[in-house]
Amino acid sequence: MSKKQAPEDVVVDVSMKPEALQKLLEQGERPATLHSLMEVYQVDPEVYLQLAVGGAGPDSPRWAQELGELAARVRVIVRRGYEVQSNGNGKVKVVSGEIVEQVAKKEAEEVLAFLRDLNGVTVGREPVRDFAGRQASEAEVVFALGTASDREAARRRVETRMAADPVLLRLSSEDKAAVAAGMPGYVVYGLLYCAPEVIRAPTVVFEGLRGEGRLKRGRAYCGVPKNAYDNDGNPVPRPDKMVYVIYTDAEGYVFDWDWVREGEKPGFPCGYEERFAREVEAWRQQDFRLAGLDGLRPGEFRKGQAWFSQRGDCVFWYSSDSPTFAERLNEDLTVFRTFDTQEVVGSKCKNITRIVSDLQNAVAALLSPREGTDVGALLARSLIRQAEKGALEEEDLQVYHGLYGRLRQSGASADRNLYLYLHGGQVEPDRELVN
Amino acid sequence: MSLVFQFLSWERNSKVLSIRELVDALRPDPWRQANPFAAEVDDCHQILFDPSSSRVRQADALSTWLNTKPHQPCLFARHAANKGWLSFCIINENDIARGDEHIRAVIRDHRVAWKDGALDGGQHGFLILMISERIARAEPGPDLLALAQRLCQLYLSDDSQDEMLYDRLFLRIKPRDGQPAEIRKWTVGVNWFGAQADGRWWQDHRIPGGVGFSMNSVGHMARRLLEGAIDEDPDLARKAAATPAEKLVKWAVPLAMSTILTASKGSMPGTRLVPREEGILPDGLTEQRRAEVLGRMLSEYSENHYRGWYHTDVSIPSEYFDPAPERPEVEEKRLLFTYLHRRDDEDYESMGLGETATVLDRQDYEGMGLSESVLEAHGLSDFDTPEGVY
Repeated sequence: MSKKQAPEDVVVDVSMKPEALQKLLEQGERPATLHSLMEVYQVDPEVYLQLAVGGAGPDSPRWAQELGELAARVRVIVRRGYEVQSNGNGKVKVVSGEIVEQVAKKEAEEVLAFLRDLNGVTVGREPVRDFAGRQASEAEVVFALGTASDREAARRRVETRMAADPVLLRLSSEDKAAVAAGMPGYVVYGLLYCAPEVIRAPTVVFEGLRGEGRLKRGRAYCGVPKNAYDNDGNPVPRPDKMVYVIYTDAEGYVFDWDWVREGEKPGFPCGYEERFAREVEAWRQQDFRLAGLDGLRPGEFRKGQAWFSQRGDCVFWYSSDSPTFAERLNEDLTVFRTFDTQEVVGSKCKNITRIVSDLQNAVAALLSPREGTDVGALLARSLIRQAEKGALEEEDLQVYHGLYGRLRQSGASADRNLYLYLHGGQVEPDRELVN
Repeated sequence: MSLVFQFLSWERNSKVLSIRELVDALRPDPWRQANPFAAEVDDCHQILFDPSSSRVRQADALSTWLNTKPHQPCLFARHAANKGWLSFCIINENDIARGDEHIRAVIRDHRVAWKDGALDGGQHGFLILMISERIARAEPGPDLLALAQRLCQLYLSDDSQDEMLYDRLFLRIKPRDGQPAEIRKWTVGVNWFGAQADGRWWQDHRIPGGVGFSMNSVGHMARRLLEGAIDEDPDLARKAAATPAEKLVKWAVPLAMSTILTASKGSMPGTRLVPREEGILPDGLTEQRRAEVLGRMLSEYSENHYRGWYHTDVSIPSEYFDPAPERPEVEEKRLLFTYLHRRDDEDYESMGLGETATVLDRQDYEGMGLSESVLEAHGLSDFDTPEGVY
């Protein structure tokens, strides 16, 4: 075993007793190798245990100090847990996190028995009979459990983990109905298969989807699911350099889910700094579960339909069911581009409440339950809003232009929910669409 | 049918599959579809699989299930559950999705917290359980066996199959009557449990919600009970001081026998008591005294050995991963109770009445589900309680 510096997380609080140090010194000078440690352990386990938790001390010979550093390192391996692998060249690797140690194959059984014993593990074919127990030492307890503060910290982590209520995410009934009423199949299967996977094990969680309104405390759960899914629900290879993002409002209602380009940080979406207010610090201590998807299946794709989500304050629209990723153009507009040609084939118009309040008088005539809401009008207003803010670039104009053209071709209009919302009514699952 | 599965070892350069990959590979159990879980298991599942349940709520549900007669036969586990001495490490689908290093770190924290609690006598048993409906409904087979081994690897850094694996537990003993403080340590048996066992021949190893390992040490539990009783009874402290430690815990023999007796009453038991050998008694022990110690129900059976179609100490037995619900046709094994006492032990006093009868009160025994005959043998049949007389 090679000699390396003792890892930082070895907290020494049990100094080696003079008698134990004396016994170590009496065993004679030896190199800091695993073999030497095993010899020390075989002669007197207590000497080894005190050396591992307390070190030999600064006044002891250099070889004893180095042996103590190695013993502490072995303690870290044992406490963290380890895997044993063959590397095919006559050596066996003991891997514990970033620590990798190699031992000769012929010594492997002996080394493993040593590590097992230090780990308090007995393996055999006959029952162990120690009903009365055997005497142990403080050093053995500290070796196995850590110092009092280590144990207290572990206990606190366990208590927090046990008591934590899971964060339940769900889909509103109106959004569930909309999803099943003609959104592309890959969108529905992404929600059914990719979203739960990401929510169980996100790479990062952000809060603050908008600067104002009810999404100010909305969240984005980001992660990398194992697969993507096609329109029939078949798993397909996930796109390279993409992360899957699920958006919720402050109450945990999911309203959007997309593949987006990955930024420089693995598992983080590009531009996360400007898109989200903050990273949720404590998400690793929380469990997230996505409920309420039972029975959800895609309906036949309807390209002339747009869907309003009150929870997300946005309108979705797709001119094609080719699988896409989302690209944020500005705070009002995200476009959907196909993976293969990068063509824009749909959009998400955001901040609908704000846009419509600007348009309230002019748009009233456009909002008819029979004819549907003109999504083009919303898009136009979004364009004007961005132009007034001076936030438009030439490329953006081209995107708006292309998108508007596709909207006109498909004649897309929003579902009845947007009409109800704008007229102060109760948004509900659109039975006409569901049926 | 006897199954022999190869397991991953350092001598092979196989790719180690993660818990998540192994769970993904599990297949639904066709036998389970035709043979639903028992009602008491399903009831527990209502809480375990409720997405809003915290781990504390899940642990409470499991503890209640373990403590409810006759859900499982182990009287030691029932008593530990009754006393709140069980420590639960619940690994759910979030943990599984977050990867093996996360699971390893979680188990490490729980293992330290359990052992730290046990050091001061507040904890005794430990359960590491993967709670997931998919796992609970998975077919026993090579994939589930690989999952068992991987979980064992993350817990003990060892994945040996068909071996007896033990962890280690400590107990701090207070100084008293001139005797110095000391720390004692015990090995702790590691045993596989699973929802798959429900309705199968190894039913005594069933657990709702999924699969996992259960750890307990009879010696640690016995000594902890004794220390608790000594704290409250100075006379007992003096008696205990004069009694060798190995004799202070013999009350566990009738308890272990009762566990096997309970387990043997199923339609397809994996273990059974055997009639006692005639005419063999340690020197100084009379038939009458033996009958008093073991009670009427147990005295016709051997306190030295029992029989089983699997070894109760084997941690990950291959037989549990055979999907057949019937018991495999293997030769019955001769198993020993003598890890709890010596066959030639001349002192049966400490096994029954003797010093340790006063260590436990009737509630302790009742919590363990002991029969009236065993209670009688321990001099507890006329025990008065504030509520009345039993």
